[in-house]
Amino acid sequence: MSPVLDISGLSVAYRAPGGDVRAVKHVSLTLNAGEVVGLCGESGSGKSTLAYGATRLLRPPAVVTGGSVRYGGRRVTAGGDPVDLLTMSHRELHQMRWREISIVFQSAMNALNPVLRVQDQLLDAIRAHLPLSRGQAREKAATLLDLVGIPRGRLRSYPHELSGGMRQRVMIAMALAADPEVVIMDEPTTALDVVVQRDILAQIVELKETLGFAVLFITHDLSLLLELADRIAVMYAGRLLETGSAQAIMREPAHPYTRGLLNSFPSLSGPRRELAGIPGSPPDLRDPGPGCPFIPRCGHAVAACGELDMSLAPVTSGLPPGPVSHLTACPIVATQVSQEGVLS
Amino acid sequence: MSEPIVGGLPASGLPVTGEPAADASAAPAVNADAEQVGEPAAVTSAAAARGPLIMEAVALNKVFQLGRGASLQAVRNVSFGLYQGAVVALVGESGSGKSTVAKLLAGQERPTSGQVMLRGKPADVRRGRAFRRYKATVQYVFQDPFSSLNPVHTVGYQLSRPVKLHQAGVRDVRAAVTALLEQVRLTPAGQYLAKYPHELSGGQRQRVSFARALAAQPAVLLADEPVSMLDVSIRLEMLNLLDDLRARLSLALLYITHDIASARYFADEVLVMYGGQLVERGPAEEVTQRPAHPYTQLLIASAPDPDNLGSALKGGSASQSRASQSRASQSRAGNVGPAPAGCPFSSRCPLADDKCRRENPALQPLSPARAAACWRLDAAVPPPVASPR
Repeated sequence: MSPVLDISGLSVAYRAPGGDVRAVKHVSLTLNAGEVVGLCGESGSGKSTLAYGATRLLRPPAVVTGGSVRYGGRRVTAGGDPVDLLTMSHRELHQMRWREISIVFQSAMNALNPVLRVQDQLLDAIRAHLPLSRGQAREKAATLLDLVGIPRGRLRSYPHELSGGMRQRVMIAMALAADPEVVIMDEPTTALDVVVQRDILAQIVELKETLGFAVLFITHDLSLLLELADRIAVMYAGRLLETGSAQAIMREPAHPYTRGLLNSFPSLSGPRRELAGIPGSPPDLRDPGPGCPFIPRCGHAVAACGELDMSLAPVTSGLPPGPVSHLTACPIVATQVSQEGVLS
Repeated sequence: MSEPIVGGLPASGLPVTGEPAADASAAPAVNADAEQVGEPAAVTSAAAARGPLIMEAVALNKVFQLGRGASLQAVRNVSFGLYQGAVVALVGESGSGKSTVAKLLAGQERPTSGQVMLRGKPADVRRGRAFRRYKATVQYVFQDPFSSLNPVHTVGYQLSRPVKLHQAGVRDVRAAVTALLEQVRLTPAGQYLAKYPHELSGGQRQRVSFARALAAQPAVLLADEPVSMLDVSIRLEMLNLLDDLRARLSLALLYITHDIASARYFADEVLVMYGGQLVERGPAEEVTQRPAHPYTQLLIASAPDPDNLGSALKGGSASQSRASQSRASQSRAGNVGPAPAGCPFSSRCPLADDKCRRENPALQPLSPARAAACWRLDAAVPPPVASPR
């Protein structure tokens, strides 16, 4: 099966007077149809820049400096070759947006226009991208609200009359308006409390099952992804450090950063265990050192780390790389894993 | 715990008429039906073992007047104590009233009824030297380090102001500020003095907020979601720092959070708040491992748990509880409007019966250190403690 979205060697830089800030460095990531891929990283790691770069939503001073983003949705390719989003004309892009790839933006709670009714905002999105009459569009808006479990009467509400969770659901409904194949969700639940968050996540999973879209789920909270995602990619300082199934990331984390993350959140079940966290602060992208960006915070760093090219390699060497193989950028600690099993 | 203070001060600014109010029923526009039923529980706080009682909330009520006769009871009959060298966690969702409780303790808001006690004395000062002393003793750390520091002043300047204000005898302000920065492990301190907030990361900014609170040499620190705006990888270090400061400076700490898992690790006692009132309290490990109140159980079931790989989210056995949770979240806590009669959680509670919708339960003791406010505790069987893999 060919991936529905294939990001390959993507690099993004922010042009700045003192030289480029390379926010995304040569990142490759695939998304298969109907799959949830979690992209996890702390603020400034480049996870949003990666998503917006891949969908050509970045504005100067941000520029995509390399790579390709191939989209292989079945309606577009009709069995043929995938199309490259980065070389498309604006007209073609307009055809792609919403109908093929849609985005639930970060702080979606505030992404609704406060002076327009929910209905008008849904209608705007629907009529801009679907050839529907006003009446049909209104009916479509109502069914979208049905989809996310909001009473139709709320169409006439203003955003401030809805709770945070409801506003978030409206945003998700809007993203699904044109039945896209890929939905990018950028921190969609960050401002919500845990009970509402869990409801929304369950709703996303349910909608994904019924409608069959693929999700790229961006968050800083790895613990969410362990429950939600099929595959997880861990990003740090513009690089992918590790990718693998949620299972593999949880049980056999190979990169010291991933391990640090897993050891950073308190668990509710099981015995109380000693939590280590990750010492130090996030890296300064303006002045990256050579080699692995995690060296200053890593407990395993050796001299060779300064010369790593940060390409991903299978954790268990000898296996051919496959679509779900467990890959890491750290050859030093990864070999310890395969020798000793799971490190504590 | 103390008796409710009868004849406490009438709240200023609010049109309380008649006798000074010691309970919510005397306050205007409070739904009398929602009055809690039953004797309040006599519970020994799990935090009391750490040190003497420093600060106490006694039957606090806060009613906000919203105009046109509408009112919102944000805090209802909340009592608890803060103890020297101990951490009490106040856990609940947005709108549950946790921040209002902190503001009442900090003196930013006046209680409609009830009393805040500091070292056994009622804290009803409003101005002058006594007020300044109170403010110095009880310090507040805000959630958002991006907006709580003044962007146009350097770190050194922002820390020198509270030092000058609250440490009257200090001659060498720069040395005092340097010591503060070292205390929150911003070292070498000299490097940070001339920096502006925008030059710092979120974690570093929050350390500056901690330092600013410590500049007043407080006995009580009210930390309102101090790590929720920070990256996961930094949160733990910040909580460890806070814990270290608590131990070294013998601070009484109120840790407000919606993350009950962090409360398990960090707090001595956990107070769970819902709809403006305490619904459960007890030692942190007991409350998180064997929650008694249905709301606490929902909260714990909702928390993302890495040890819970491939959980209810991916469908399967828990689908029924998922459905009820889904229904549960349709209604929101802290809605503006008349308080519903009965238990505030009854509209979301899977166990609610007629009595729950009619009468609001008071905290009932479960053990010397635990209490829960629920009529259906017999049915709310704590879920079995998950065993480690």
